[in-house]
Amino acid sequence: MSEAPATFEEALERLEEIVQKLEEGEIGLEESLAAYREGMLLHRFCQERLRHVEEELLTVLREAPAGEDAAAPALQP
Amino acid sequence: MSPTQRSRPDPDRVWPLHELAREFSARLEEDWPPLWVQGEISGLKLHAASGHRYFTLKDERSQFPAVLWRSRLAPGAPEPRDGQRVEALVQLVFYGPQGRLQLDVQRLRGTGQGELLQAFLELKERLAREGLFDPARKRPLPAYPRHIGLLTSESGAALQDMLKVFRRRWPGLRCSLLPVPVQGPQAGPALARGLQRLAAWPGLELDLIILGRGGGSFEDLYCFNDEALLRAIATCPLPVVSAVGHEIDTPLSDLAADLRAPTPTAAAELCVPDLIQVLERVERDGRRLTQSLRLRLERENRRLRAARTHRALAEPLRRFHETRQALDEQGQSLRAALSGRLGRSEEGLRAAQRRLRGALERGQSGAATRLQGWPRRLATLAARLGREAREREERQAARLDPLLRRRLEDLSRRLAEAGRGLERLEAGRLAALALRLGFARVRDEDGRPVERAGALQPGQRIELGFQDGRARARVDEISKEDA
Repeated sequence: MSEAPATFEEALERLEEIVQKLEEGEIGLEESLAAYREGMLLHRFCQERLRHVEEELLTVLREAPAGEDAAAPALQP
Repeated sequence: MSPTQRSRPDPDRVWPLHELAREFSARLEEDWPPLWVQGEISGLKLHAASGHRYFTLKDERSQFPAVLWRSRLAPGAPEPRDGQRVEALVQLVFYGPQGRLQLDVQRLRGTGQGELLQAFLELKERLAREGLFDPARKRPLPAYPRHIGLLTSESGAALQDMLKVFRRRWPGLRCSLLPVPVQGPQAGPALARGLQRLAAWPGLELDLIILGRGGGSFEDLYCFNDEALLRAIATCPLPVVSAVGHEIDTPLSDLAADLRAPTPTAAAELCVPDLIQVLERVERDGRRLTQSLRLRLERENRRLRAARTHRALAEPLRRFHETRQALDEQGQSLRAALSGRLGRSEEGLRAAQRRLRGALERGQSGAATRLQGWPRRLATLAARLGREAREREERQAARLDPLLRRRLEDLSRRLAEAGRGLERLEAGRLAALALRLGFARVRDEDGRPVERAGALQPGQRIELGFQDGRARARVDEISKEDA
């Protein structure tokens, strides 16, 4: 079992790799079972990522007043 | 022909018309090098096959037919329109086949736009030479962005158009807008600076940036040709999408960006996937995953059945037969050797008898008397020797047989054990796997395993065995499928 995927893209790619490997059937039975388990985890991860919708779509960024570039930029919703 | 050599035509010469046309055309182009004229476009026709444009350039009092070859239409320059007042750089030509004077338009610009368009074309050429628009520079966009930076006006329609697409296609996306003016003399530098600020804004971790605005006139969109902006796009650490105006507008930001979109709406659609499609893909992957494991288990099961008849029995039996054959062959050669030696002993005895009988017959009576009892004794001796030889052979054979029998018995016992072990191992492992995957053991009232739906009756009681326990159930309905 490899470590947890960092991004949705990675997870989906790995999931499809596993599906392909299982479908080709070239790996041993034990390895198949491990691959299946990893595949199910990735599948669930992808589903959760897609179903998790954040409330806020848009943030408007406000710059610090001109001439005060050193100041941290203000983030306002 | 140089101008100095040109003189008045000879009044006595008779001219073929095409020669006159050629001569006139040459003198015309010599006397009138390209020059700027001002007028209004009318009767514009686009010749579909060639891409050339034919129109009349006119003012209040005069008109000239004009042609704009497709190759002369500067990319990015505004498309000529009927009724448009323009300035045109033209070459006066005489068109022989129709016997008329016409304008060959070499450059076209809106009234008062001349300098702006000129600057645009020069900048474009210069940056293209520098490689700023090189397709090899373009970076791919992330397939599933989580956070997109927007560089546009806070009040413009472009922003709302993009947000609408994001909400519909890819909800859950975060957007961060850095509001900038997208029109007017300050817009270009503001966009350039805004792009740099947005890309470097702390804590955002943007996947890409879209900059743009809705449609407008050439002058309105001119800020997207700002050199500082184009360089900021080219050096931006994140992929940049340019989404300016309507389909026909091509500002230089479109050429410098990693991706150009004809409109802000189109840019939004190009930048995010469609959630429904992605969800369907993930679901399909999940189904394929389970299905492929199920097929795998069925395949292993078939292999197990095949192994019981083939690997576990057939091959060791072959080895058994080979051993048996080798032993038979050894036994045979042993028997042959024994009987050979016995034969030789009997032959020797017979020779001795013959010699004795000869001596008796030759009348050696004394000896004959002494030897009278010999033939019988010799016959007894021969019989004993033969018996002993046969007994020796049998003893040897008897020593061999228990050895052979033991080896064969040992072999078949080990075979049977191996077969049972293999069966237990595979069956146990497959059963455990199957139970974990949600298959259950089905038994009838007498505890016999049920393997087929056809073995059941409606109303019959059955027992389902799971990983962690059992459940009793009653059969409602049976529907058989052809295997």
